[in-house]
Amino acid sequence: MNKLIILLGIASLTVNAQDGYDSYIYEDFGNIDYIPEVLTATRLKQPKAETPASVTVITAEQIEAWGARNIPEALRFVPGMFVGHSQSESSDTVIYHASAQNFTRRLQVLIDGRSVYNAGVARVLWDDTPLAVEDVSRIEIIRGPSSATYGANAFLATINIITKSPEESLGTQVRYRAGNRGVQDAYLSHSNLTSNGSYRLTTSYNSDSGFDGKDAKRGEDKWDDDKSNKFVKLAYQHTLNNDTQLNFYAGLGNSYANMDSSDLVGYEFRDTDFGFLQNTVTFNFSATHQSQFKMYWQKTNRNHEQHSSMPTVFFDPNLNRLYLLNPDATMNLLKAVDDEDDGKVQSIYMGMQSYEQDLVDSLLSEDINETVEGWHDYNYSEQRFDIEWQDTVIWHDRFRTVSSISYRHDQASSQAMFQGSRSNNALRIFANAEWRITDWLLLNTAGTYEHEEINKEAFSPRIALNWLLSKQQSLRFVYSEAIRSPDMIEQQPNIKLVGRNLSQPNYLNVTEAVFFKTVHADHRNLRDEEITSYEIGYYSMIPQLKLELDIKVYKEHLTHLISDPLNLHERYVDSNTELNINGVEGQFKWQPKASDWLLLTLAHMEFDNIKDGAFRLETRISPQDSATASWHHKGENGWSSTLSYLWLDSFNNGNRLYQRSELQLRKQWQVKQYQPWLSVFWQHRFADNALGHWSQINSTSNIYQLQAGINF
Amino acid sequence: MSMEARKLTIAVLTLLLLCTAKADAAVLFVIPEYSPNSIALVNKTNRHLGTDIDIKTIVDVDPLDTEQYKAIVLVGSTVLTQWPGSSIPTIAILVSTKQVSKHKQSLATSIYADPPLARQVLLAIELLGAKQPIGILFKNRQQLVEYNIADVSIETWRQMKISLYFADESESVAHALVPLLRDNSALVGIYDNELYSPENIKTILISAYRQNIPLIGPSAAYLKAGALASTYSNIDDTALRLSEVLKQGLTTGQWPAADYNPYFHVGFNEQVGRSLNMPLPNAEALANKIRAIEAADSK
Repeated sequence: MNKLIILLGIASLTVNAQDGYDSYIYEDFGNIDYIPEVLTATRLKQPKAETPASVTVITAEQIEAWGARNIPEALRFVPGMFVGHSQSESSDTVIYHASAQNFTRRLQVLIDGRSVYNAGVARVLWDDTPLAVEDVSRIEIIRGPSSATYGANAFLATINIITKSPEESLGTQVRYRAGNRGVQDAYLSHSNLTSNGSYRLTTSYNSDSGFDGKDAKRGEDKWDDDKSNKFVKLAYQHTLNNDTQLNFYAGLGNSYANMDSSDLVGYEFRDTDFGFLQNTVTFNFSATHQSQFKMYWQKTNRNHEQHSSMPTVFFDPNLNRLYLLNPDATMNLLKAVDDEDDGKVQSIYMGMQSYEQDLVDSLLSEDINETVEGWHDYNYSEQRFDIEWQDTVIWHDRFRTVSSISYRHDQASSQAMFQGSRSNNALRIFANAEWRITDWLLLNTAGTYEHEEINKEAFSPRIALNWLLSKQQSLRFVYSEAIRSPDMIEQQPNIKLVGRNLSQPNYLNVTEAVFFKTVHADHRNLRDEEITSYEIGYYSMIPQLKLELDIKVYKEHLTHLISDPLNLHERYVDSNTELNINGVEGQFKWQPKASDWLLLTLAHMEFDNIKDGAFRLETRISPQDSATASWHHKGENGWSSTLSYLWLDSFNNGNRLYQRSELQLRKQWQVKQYQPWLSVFWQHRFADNALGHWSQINSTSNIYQLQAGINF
Repeated sequence: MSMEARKLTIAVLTLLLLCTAKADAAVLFVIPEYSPNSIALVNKTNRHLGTDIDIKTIVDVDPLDTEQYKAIVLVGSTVLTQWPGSSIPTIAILVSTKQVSKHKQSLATSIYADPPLARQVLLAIELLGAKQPIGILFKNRQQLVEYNIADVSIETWRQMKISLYFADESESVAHALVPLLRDNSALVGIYDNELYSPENIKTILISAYRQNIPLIGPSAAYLKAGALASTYSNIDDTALRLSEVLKQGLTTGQWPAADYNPYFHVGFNEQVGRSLNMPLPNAEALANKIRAIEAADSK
């Protein structure tokens, strides 16, 4: 189970909790067997008015209503959360408030308590994860720093994905989806009961052809950015005895994408195999004491290769020597040569040391216009082993604690990025205490201490005070600090690309050679990225109006951010960006009837104290103002419809507006035990421009998808 | 209450009772054992009724030696199942409808202990708001007869947004719960201790809670387990109704038909309510409201 439930999830006991029915006389007269206490205080979720953070919950029903194909699509409906697209990964990325759009980096993402943040390359790879949206029970997004409860990388927000228990999905589900942009998705799952438990076996295949480019003609696809993801996954639940439950998960899959688009020459793809094993045992020792033992192992094996054509001189060892001696002059020289600006070549040459000039002489003596074709790779493999013991104790009606100790081992191997292997060991101790000072005042303190081999020790605290104006209405004051610890590629890169199968003839007379640009650092001594956040939140549920609302006003101060790109072209990477974000966010749910709901999210952000260069990188897809609205109606006879609208204003340096709407119609039948269904999804983009990089756009502003499925 | 204190209370109460009991008592209570609850029940009935009451445990009672009484009250299912029968009008209380139906011939009337299903449904509607879909799980279709709802038309169920599910038409209770929990906002429990057995209640409550669906009922005994709410009749309610039944029977010789107790309370599991983010109204006002609806309905 996830930590939020357990952590926040300790129910609020009131002093006189069980009055009213204790005087009941029934059991005395032999009518009823002893009924066990099932929903004990340790099993109950914390009421929303009492959570020590801003939380958005996305339910399975909403995911189905929106017709989301993957998790990032559903996360658009979280205030302050934005979905970008990584050019270098050819996949969706998710950011909260601010971050480079190329990676999901400053968020922690957990699936049933398993972190899918790849430590080697410092990012979340959504495509390299065996997870189907149909299997998701709910997503809890903790909007705000929560390193205090989840450790490093739970930096700006934490996305907690909880999959359905097999008992929730008993039976067989089949679904097929097809649409423009080459969408072809299939899903098949079967869940059943065993003598002492239940299981679900899922297999899923998703593929699409990516963007086709704004100017693509009908039927033409300008960008070769097709991608696919396929996997099998097992979820198994076993009741060992009355108080002990085992959850076992295993998954194995592959993802593939082409990454060629506008500004790249040649051909590039990634081909990843991934798998994991997870085991969680929950012990309910008593109604007031629960423990959980969790262990998982996961591995990612990625082939990332690029075929390109470039000047032979780029593989000349002398150019590499020159670059290492004087990188700036080397780059300027190459540009001047390319521009055929002889005067500039001459002046750069004159400014060099004599031993550098010797290298230039030898380079210029060769045919510098000769080009060579070949392959190079960014292959890597990464694995993690994580083990955790967690304890929840209710000491008293008004005082409870959750604590845990965990150990994690990360290992990454890559010839291209590390010239070998890197590893990291981390020890983490976490404690959280909730104290109900009075019936209307709740104090929540939490802290995590982390010791990492490749980074400094860190302690992340959070303190929250919830003032209950009524049972369903509260004001919360939260102070939190969090960190993101730099990962291996940031801290200890040794990037060296080797050109292979180089075309012949070339003046170097080689088939394999090293590209002249290299990046190497034994240890960059980058500091942890740090955030300090102040938040005032207001939660209220107004039953008379059938309205639930949550508003938060916050001030975030981010320091030591690593904004520089992590690639071959960036020699110096610093943790020196500072950023202040002030803003307000709101989420509203109005459910006038069981058959209708309206969801509304609003976010306003202001940035300051950031250097121009970093600003563009960090806030490229962060709009100053954003809103989403989604209306769902469930009609008679199995009909339902959902109309959504997305509005992002003033992003990318404050000069862009992006709007789009989506409509999904669904019809379900019941024929004996079979439930066939059909749905149509239509997305219309009002914006002329791409959300992120200019090439990330389709020639059509309409996206259609047809789905058909059957449950039995 | 500690064991010692409990024993002492029983002793004192029994003594008081025996002292007040006179030889010409009109009513005999047969109880399973001396317990504070049985004695409180007798005392309270006595106060309402004004008639003297004799009290005996099922072990001590001699059925042949009951001729001097005008009525016999059997308390609880243990007593009912062990009762050999008598020519004196016999009333069973704190027993379920199902148990009563098995011993119908030997009983003048009964007050059922289980909350009527209709009342639990009313409770669910009041808590969730009208038009929220409600699911009820039965063991099988035959139970509709048992619960006197076999002749309710499908159209009526539809109008009330109530869907019925039958465990025997699925592979298991867990299978039957899947569509129920998917398509409804609450599960109303029927009073059936096989369906809501200690084993099943675990599956039912955990599955329902996982999907934020509250369980209403089947009885107050399930509140501690994790049911959100239930109606129930406490000792006062039972004593009040019993005295009415006894008064009518003893004075007119006409015993009212066996029925549910019209006096009841509403109980909540506040923790579950808070955790499900469900605002809970005042229990007493809610009980009064449901009672008013029932009263209007019976006219």
